[in-house]
Amino acid sequence: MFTYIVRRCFAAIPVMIVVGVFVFLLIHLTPGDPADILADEDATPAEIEQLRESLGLDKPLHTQFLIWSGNIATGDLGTSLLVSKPVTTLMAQRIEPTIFLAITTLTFAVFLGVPLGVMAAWKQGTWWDHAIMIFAVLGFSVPGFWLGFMFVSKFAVDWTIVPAQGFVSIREGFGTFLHHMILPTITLGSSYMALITRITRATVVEVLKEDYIRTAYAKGLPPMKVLFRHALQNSSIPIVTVIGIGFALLINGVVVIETVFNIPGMGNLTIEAVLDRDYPVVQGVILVFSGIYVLVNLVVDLSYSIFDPRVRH
Amino acid sequence: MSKRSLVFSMALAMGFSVLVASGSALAQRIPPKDTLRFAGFSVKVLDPHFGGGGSTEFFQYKVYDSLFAFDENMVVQPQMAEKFTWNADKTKLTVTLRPGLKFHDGQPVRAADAVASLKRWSNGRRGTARIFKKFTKSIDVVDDKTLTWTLTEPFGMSMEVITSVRYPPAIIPERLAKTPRNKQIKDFTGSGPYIFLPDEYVPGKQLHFKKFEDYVPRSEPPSFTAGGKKVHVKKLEWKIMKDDATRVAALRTGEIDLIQEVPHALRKDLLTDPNVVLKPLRTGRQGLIFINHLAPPFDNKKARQALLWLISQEETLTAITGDPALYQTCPSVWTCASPYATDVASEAIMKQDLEKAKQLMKEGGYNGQTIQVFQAGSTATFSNATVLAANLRKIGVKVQHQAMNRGAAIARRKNTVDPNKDPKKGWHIYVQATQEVTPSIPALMGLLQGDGCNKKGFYGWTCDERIGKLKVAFGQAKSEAERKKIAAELQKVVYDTVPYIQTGLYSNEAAYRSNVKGAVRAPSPIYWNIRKE
Repeated sequence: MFTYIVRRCFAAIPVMIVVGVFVFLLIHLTPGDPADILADEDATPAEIEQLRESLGLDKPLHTQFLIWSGNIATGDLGTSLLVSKPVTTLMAQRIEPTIFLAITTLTFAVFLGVPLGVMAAWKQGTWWDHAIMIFAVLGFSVPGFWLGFMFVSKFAVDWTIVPAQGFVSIREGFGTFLHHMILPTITLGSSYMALITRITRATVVEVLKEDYIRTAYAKGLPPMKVLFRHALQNSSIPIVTVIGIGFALLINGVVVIETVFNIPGMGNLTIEAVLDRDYPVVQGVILVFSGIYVLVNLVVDLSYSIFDPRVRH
Repeated sequence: MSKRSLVFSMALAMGFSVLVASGSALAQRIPPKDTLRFAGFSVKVLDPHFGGGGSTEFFQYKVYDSLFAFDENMVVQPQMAEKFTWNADKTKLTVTLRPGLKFHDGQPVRAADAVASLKRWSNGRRGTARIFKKFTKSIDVVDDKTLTWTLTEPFGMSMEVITSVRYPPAIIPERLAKTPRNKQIKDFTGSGPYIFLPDEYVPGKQLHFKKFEDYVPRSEPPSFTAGGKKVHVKKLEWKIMKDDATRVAALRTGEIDLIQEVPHALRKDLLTDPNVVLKPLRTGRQGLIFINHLAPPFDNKKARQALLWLISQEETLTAITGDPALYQTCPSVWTCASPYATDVASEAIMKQDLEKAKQLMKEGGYNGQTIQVFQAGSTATFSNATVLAANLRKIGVKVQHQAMNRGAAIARRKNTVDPNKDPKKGWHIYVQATQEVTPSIPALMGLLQGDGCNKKGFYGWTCDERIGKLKVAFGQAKSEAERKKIAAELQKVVYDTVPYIQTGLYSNEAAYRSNVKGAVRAPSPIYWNIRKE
């Protein structure tokens, strides 16, 4: 197992390199540069050019890439060209809301999506099944930003039972933290939950047709035990895979939901950096996001051996 | 107790805990009475001499003070200066600082700090700073409280230049003012009414300030950026909120006390809220349509003049604001609040005539090419560009209107490529806006340049030496009457050569909770004199 983990970690290195090159080229080839953004509206072309030089943006692209990748190799993600702070500091200030938003969203989506999927599979063809599937289709189809604004309008502005925006650290009290996270979590988690519900239903429906399920019923096991002990556990590999893939959806969604609910997280940081052409920040954030994504996939792969003993052997 | 009862009791207890927590959370999100919490835009650059946009200027007004300031009549008033005198030939200004001025670190403000700050500011990339530098022979320390500014020659606008209506020269400690101009300072010690709290600063999230207890406000009432800067709250919290609807929702729930500017489209949500007041706290904006003088057909003056007849300020401003109370049509290039405003040669801009516009476009050489119109920024500039594009289509001109982010727009507007050959890179018309006060003094209007000959100089590349000469003449005029005459002459030139077209003035209101009182209107949002009841 240890050798497998080490091998997978090394396999991630070329992926990260490709991501790094791609991101570097993409952001540098996009029109506009930070010197234009920093300069005043009536700055002369010569003054803007001087500013570009002072920021090191006048160097050839390959030189800039070599400098950046050399710094990355030493663990230095660089310094923001606009706010003059290290990228790692900026990320450290913004990672907490995003991590907690991801945790609450995953918890919400998995703890609601899996039981709903199992329920729909168990009651296949009944109105339970149809109602859950309609719910799932809606969850998947309604855009997050629209849902977010509707929630804010009703629950925050009209009924004033939750805050309209913002993030409070868990260190300032679990109740206050949870209070601020309810709407963003439901908004971001709805599509994710819908995806898990649909996949769970589909896989459990297949497993319920297996002979060993019939045998379990024949032995007199209660339906819940059959469903959750035998059917769900044997359906878990596709579900866990979808949870892993869905993590990418989560990262995309975070960018929008953090804006709607004014959560000062990594998504917001990414948007600002892209609009400001703050190259080191964009490159650093995307590199870290891709690293997390690779890590999540590794965890998903490793979890197969927990759910399916055949993988271990 | 049965297992089922136990589970039920636990669920009940959890529900109760969440309710209690919710109650405490609801109370916690309302700012306390001695704290003013407002929603503003993101700020990137905190160094007041370095560059950056309007948010940098906004930060500056909290933390830094300046020698002089403009009052609401656009008259220069002393601010940090106690008194100032000119020598007989108006080439030397002597300024004496007010007693008791201190920096946030407790050190007294000295003339050496002011001199070093003025030198650093004048090396910046701002138009007024360039003029200051051009006319400066030397800036010298006389003693701890006195400094002199010696000019190369008399310049009538020298007080306006050293005051600077946009991005005034912030006075910072001498030790910081020695930082090179292309390197941002990292210590934001100022002498303004608020102290910046760097430990609570999270870029993209928030900036917090506390009241500077040792600040000595002037005795005069506040007027624009001049007068007494009295602070009535202990803490000022600037929360960065990017989404307009989120800002409005947060104001309505009381999570914030004030929104700097409400987009016109969201006003109606607030107009009916009895807890919210809508009032412009910032001077308005002027819409500007820049024309590329290098690209046919606009290399021909007649085609540029066609646009003057094409535009209807009334139509444009209605599209932007939707409410006549929030806009003002204006015949003058110098904005109608300026003492130099005039209606000379403004017939075309004030009277839309599509037939005449069509005729002039034809005479100007329009041959069916697609006109590339682009803009960035707010919905206001989008509306401005949309109305322009619609009117161009009415007279049979093909138009491609592109909305883009600021970074892409700035990159494109400096491109001199012919848009008829490369429509993706080149451009014909760029729509933007500027603060209403920016064009109020002709000599200091940085966006008005005539130096674009040979594809060099300011974007739009207007090549007309009359503009530069008249701006200098305005600055050197001996009397106000002479200045007004030159301003009218320059306006004639602008409406003749058409470097850009102003499309009228519009305002965005600030929105604040009804318990917020005493807010002062200014070119940039300023939060002194403001209090919560």
